[in-house]
Amino acid sequence: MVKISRYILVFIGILAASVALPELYWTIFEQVPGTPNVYYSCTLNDFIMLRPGDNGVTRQDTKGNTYTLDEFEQHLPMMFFRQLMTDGTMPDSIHGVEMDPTAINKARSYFRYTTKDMLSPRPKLWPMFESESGRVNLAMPDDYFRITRKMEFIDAATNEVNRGKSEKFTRALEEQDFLFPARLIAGIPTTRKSCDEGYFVKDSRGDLFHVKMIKGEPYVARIDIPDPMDILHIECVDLRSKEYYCYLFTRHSGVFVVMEGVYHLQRIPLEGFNPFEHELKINCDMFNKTFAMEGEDFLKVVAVDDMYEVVDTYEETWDGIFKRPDGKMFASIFPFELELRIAKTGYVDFYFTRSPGFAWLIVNLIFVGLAVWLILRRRGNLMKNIPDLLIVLVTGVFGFIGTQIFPNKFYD
Amino acid sequence: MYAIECKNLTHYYGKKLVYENLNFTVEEGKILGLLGKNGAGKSTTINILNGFLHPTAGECLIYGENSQHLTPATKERIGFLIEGHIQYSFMNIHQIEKFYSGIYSRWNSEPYWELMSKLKVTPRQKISSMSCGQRSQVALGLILAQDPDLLILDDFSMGLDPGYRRLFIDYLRDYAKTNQKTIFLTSHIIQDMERLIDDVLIMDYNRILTQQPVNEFMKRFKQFVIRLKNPNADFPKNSLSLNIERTKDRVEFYTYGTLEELKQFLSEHAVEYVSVEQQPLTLEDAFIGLTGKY
Amino acid sequence: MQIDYTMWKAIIYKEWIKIRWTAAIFLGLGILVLINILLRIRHDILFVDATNYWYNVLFRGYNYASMLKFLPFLAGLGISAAQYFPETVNRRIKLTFHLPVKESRVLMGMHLFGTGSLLLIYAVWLILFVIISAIYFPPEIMQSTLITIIPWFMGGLATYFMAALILLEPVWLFRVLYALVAYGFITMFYQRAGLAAYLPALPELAVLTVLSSIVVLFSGYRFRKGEM
Repeated sequence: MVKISRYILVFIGILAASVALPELYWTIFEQVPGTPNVYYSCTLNDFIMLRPGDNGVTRQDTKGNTYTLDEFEQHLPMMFFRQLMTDGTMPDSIHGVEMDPTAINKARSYFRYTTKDMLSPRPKLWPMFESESGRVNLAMPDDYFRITRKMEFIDAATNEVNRGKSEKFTRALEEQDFLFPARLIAGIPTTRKSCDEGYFVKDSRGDLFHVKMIKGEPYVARIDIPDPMDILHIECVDLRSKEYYCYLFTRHSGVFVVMEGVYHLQRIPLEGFNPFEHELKINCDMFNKTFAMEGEDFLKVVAVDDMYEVVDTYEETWDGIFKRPDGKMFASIFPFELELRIAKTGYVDFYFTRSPGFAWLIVNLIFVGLAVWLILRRRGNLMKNIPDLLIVLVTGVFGFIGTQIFPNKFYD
Repeated sequence: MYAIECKNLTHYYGKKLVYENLNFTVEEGKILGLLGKNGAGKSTTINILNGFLHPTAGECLIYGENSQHLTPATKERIGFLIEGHIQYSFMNIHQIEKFYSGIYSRWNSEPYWELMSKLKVTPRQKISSMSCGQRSQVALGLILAQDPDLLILDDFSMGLDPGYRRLFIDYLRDYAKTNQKTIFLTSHIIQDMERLIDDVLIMDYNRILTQQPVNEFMKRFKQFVIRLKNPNADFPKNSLSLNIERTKDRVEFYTYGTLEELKQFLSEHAVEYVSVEQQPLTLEDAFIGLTGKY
Repeated sequence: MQIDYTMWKAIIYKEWIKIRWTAAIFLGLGILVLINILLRIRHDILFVDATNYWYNVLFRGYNYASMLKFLPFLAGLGISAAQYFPETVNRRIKLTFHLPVKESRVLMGMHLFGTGSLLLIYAVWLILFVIISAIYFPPEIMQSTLITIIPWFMGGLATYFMAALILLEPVWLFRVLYALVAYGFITMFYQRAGLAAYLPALPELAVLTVLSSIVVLFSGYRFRKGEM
């Protein structure tokens, strides 16, 4: 029993060390590669990017030409129109379209998706706003709804279910052949939006619905989606242009937008996007939409016109973490790393990352040698220490620390 | 079966030798005192006996069981007094009696309360707030109430006034001899020990100086005081004496030998002396004579 | 396996004497904190309006039980200290190991009693928490808050176990080393994260907590073998 308790302690020691030591290492040695921010210039008809470097920021296009700040802003009139207008350098028209600040502003939007948005605890209760109250400002409702075996509204002040309202909405869902419970509910749960467009709900069959409250009555619309489509995540947006309601992230089918009013699904022409791995930045303006997909070691940007036809693409790769010097050195010292929180998700879990390759075996063997020397020095029995030595062989410095802090001294 | 039997006991603290090949036995019904100066190895022996120290080599058996793996049944027969009268001093005398009475099946609380009645403490007073002597009284009462067959006492007289020391010795001797109990004790305070112990084991650094019944030891071990004619004369080395203490013209000569053997030795070596007299020894005197004053 | 009831009753009696005040104080402290939480919720709901309060919980990660965070940890530490510190003074654990029971059994018996007392205190706190939550909030909110606070309680148990290990270790250098490992281990239960973020980690943390319940045997063994 005592021997088991020691191995438990060694295990805990390894856990603690495999969290603490790599963390210390990265704090000292980590070098974050400066990845560029890429934009599409409607004047250059090329991508123009901001690249952070050791000597500050460089602004260049895909052909390597560099630009000053003024030139840079000049080539992104949709983004910097206010500055250009103040400077008096804003053209009167671009591509034959008159430059009206209101129109420019209306067409502009920015959206960013990271894996953490999807991989985080989801709220289970949502506020259903009155979509057409006739008032300018939206009001917070008194209740919150959930869609489990049925749709229920719970009054916040009394913590009780509003039976009538709940039944009304449940029936409305049933009429659209909604299969309870809801798997995904997405919307904008604040009053700080221009108007309320309710929620997009995925049922247990994987079908998509649009649910709103109009003048107190339920509005439920079933949205046609191609079968099969595994919707993983939905992000609703409040666009000034009112072009679409939300972004739809699917497992294998790509990213879609759901057009306002008609619920037409428009696929974003971005191949290979994996919502579990990649970050997505979307910049929209009057002429183009730019979709930038970023992974651990690559960047892929697609610019489309207002018909979602691709007009240009740009790709760039760089060394991934274990190909860079700081990562290579890490992989030659530590056989693995344990983290409780990682940037990619909002969950706490035991995230285990094995170091690629086997360069760390050399360091492990050194520690095994050290352990053997220590055993011999205190005239211990090597045979009795075999399990310990195996532990050090596999876990390296972590196992060495664990087996030394909890000494293997037993009398039989 | 011996109550205690230690065979070839050897212990090192790191590289430092405490002793090697220590052998002794304690017969049932006897009282053995392990006497020695501080640091001679008494605590080491006690710790090995109680299973709190694993000896480098050798073993100790208590009622035939290895002291490192005593069964609960045997542990119940052993009463243990820790150096300093260490007790659960967060309890008061009622709580501690209640506790131990549930532990030991042979618990007899009479002797305990008899001793406690002599103690001038309030009923709720925690043992930690008592004086050294009072605490020792509690420890004594508990051990008597436990009614163990073997008592192992580590330096029970330390820190005690002469009165308490006598109390202990009288109670212990009476208890042991009335009930055929065995006692193994260690001490560096030798005063009064001859009233208690049957056998003596005297240790010095790294070795045993003597191991025999205390009566025999007291009979055989003698101190002779020699007054020399010349205070500056050298005193010859010899194998007759176990120890010699000299101040100027006064030589204390400790030996197992007889007066005749001493006189013969003195004449053989032409030592000029004024007088030779045997001095009576207490156990403490004998102990100092054997181990030296430093 | 024979169980001597009188003996175990006596051993439990001794443990009880050691921890009763500490346990009572922590129990009371926790109840006070929970009452405070209740009053706070009541006050805040009146102040900001129930809808806004729920919004803060649902969408801004507000944890109405956050005041509880370090209480389970302190309780685990306190009870462990109350139980094991008196045994280490003057190496009194020698008395305990000399009792007519197998040494590992008596140690586990003490450990079980301490753990049981701690669990009882935690149970009272959690029941109060559930009652308070059920008054004001729907199951969804109670559940995500519960998931958030459960690691704190597991951490408190793990603290009890590790503190016992450290207190019984005879060698000071190793006490410090164990404390370092304990720090790395216990902080796993108290990471800063959003509401209900700990969900995937709960099973692993539970297993680790259960495993760490016997580690006290290690330093107990080292003590018995005379480690210096």
